[in-house]
Amino acid sequence: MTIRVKTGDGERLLPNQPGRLLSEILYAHGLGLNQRCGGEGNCGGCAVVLEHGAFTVGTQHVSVTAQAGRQVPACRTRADTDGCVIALPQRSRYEAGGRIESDFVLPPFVLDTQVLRVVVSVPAASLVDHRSDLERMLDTVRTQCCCAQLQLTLAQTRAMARMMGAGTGKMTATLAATDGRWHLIALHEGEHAAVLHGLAIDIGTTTVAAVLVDLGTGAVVQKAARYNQQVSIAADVASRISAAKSDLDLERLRKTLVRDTINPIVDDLCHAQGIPHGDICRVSIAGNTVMVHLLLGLPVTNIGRVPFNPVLRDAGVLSAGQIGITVNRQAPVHIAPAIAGYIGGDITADIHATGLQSGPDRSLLVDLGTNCEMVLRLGERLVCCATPAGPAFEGGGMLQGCRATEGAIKRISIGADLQFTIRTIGGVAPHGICGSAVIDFIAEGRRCGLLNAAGRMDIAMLQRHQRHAQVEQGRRLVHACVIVAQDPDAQQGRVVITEADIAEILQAKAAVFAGIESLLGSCGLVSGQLARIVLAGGFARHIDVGNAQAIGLLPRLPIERVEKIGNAALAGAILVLVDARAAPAMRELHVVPQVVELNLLPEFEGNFINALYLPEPQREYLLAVAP
Amino acid sequence: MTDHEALFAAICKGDRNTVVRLVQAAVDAGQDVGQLLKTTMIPAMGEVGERFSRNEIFVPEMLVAARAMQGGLDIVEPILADSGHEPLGHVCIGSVKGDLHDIGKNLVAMMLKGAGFTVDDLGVDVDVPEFEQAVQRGAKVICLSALLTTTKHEMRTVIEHFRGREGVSVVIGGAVITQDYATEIGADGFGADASDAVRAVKQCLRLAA
Repeated sequence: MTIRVKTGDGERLLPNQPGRLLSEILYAHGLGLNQRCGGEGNCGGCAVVLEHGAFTVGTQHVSVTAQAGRQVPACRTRADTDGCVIALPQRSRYEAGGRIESDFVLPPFVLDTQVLRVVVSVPAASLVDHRSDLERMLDTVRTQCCCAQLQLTLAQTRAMARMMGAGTGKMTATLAATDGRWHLIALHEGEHAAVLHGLAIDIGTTTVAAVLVDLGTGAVVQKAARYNQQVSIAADVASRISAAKSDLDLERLRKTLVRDTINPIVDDLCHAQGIPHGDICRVSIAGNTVMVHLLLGLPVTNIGRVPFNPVLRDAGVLSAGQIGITVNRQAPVHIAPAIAGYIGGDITADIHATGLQSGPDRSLLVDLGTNCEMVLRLGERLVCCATPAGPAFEGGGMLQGCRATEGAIKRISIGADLQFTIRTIGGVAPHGICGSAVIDFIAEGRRCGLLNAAGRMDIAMLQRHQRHAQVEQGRRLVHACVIVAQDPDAQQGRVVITEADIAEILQAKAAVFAGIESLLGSCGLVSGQLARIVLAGGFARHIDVGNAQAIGLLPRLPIERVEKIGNAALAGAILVLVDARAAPAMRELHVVPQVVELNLLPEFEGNFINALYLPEPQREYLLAVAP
Repeated sequence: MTDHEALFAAICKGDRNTVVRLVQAAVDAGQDVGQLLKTTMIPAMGEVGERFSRNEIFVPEMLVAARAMQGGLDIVEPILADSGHEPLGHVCIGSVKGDLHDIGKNLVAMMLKGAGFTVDDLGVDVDVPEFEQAVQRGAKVICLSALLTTTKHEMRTVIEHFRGREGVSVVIGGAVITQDYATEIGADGFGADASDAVRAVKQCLRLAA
């Protein structure tokens, strides 16, 4: 039994079995779909168009002919007969590639990596010295470094025995210390001078970014990133929790993360640097609480409901072999400890890397992304909360929204005659719009009168400039502004922003703004009293702060009080590798923040509704668009 | 424009300050607030719901309008309670156990009040005993809200508890809820959005839409 699938770049004939979900068939053949809701059938992300044949959609039987195609969620649909035909729209496909930015700012640190390579000449056995091979070897190593309690594993003892048995007295021991205890990471025959490396990973819900660090110099030598392959199972934290119902599900999610995402990244890094995997002798990880639980195969169901309780916050130090990361098996793995069920170790790493506790008082750290966690420093206190903004900023829920990858429009400005000047990531032809561009569009649109306070478009203005379109979105017909016109000769598809898109962004930005306002309010502050706002996260890197303030996403602080620091979680993870004070500092710090539950603050809802509309544009920014 | 027309417009536009001012003025002038509610305020919210169904407005405008309406209701409700006013019906609403989300649920509550129902808002993280108590207090329709795929399963528990109960219906809704799910777990009604929720409740009570 086969099924014909039409994609943007041709047609494919795929084998099918009766009863198999379309989404599974497509994923198995490299055509993974957006499944933001975890396959529940209500996010519209995996929409396919049935063109011909008999299908079962949910529990309904549907017969389709060429004249009347039908859009359905692939995660709820099966093809019943041979020779069915479907079309797969580009926007339903989740991007497996594309450039992912992983920039960060590393604060000054004192290089102390707590790793060591010593070349030892083990004295030969003799009649007057009754010490065994192991004792002579350990004693020699201990004279060269202060590691009195050093022990070898059985496998390492066997390796040592093979080397000593071959008559060699000279060997190179690689050691790493954790909390003052030294472990043997590797033993090589003779002198082995290769550089030792460390691996730092930021496990995000959507993207996993990693760097390779030269532990001799403390320098970052390679960067690599990939999409968290769990996205093909469920797109956001809530749906991923839902997808982890059984031990089998947990194992599947764990494998998708370790085997299909992290280890390929390790391969990329080692290949780029030309080193063997075994030369990576320490790993440092930062991720949100759910990601860390899934990495370790721990159940996450309780994190998904009141009181959001995790299995653990501090996983202690594990080994790469225990987790399954393909670096040196004995390499210690440090995982930044979490603050709460939904405020993870990535935020702990953020706090440490930005020096929030020692910087200016009344600083607010905001990790702008799907989960939007924020931490306020007030005197000696740290107060934090999470205000789920949802996937809108990363393009989710928008008709032609996309993540920040090649071909995403990242900047929009509006000139006279409603002319749009756009910039895309990678400078290539635009196929979608990412969050930063939508913020630009809304700010500029408000300034030139295209959008009113509720984010509604001036249809007459659009029509005068041939920018009006009406499109179907989620079974509704909505008005849209054409950003890029269709050009069949240039194979350029139309790119639009709809009124429904704007409504989504309004709710997302209101959540952030109200989160900030409510968090500050619960501490008796207003935003004007903030010394600075520090924006962390990949999404924040791209946004225009002035436009973000103009639409009411961020409070109106003088621009010089707003800093963007890129991926601070990754920076924090790197610090654990290069500065021995970092891990203990994070251990101490993760229990400090008080967590505020926004849903329980009576003023949050009022703040949210107040923050929905777009503020009045400031006088000096009004743009003139010719009538 | 008469004051009544101005009130209608202010609710539709979401101008809470004007709504409060006009309703208070009506009360101070000794007007029949029951009539005001029935002829002006409820139709205004009905219009908001209609516009939403026609895609003329979206969720942000509905939230703002509902809040403006609530401003007026806050003044009117105590007076009506005293005068023995007959509501359209008595319902209760809550976010199910484990779920803390309430903005969507509150919007539905406001739309239901705006349609003339007495709404017993049980809040968030609501367990079966609390729904039972609300029914004992006279609620005929139980509205369940869940925002997370992890908490929606609680709806099944509530429905099981009230299965076969005379005169009690359960209507469900929430971002992750679908008609399929409602059918699957045996809910009496499903609201795809806040406006649709009002329709579903009316249908359960066999009232004109």
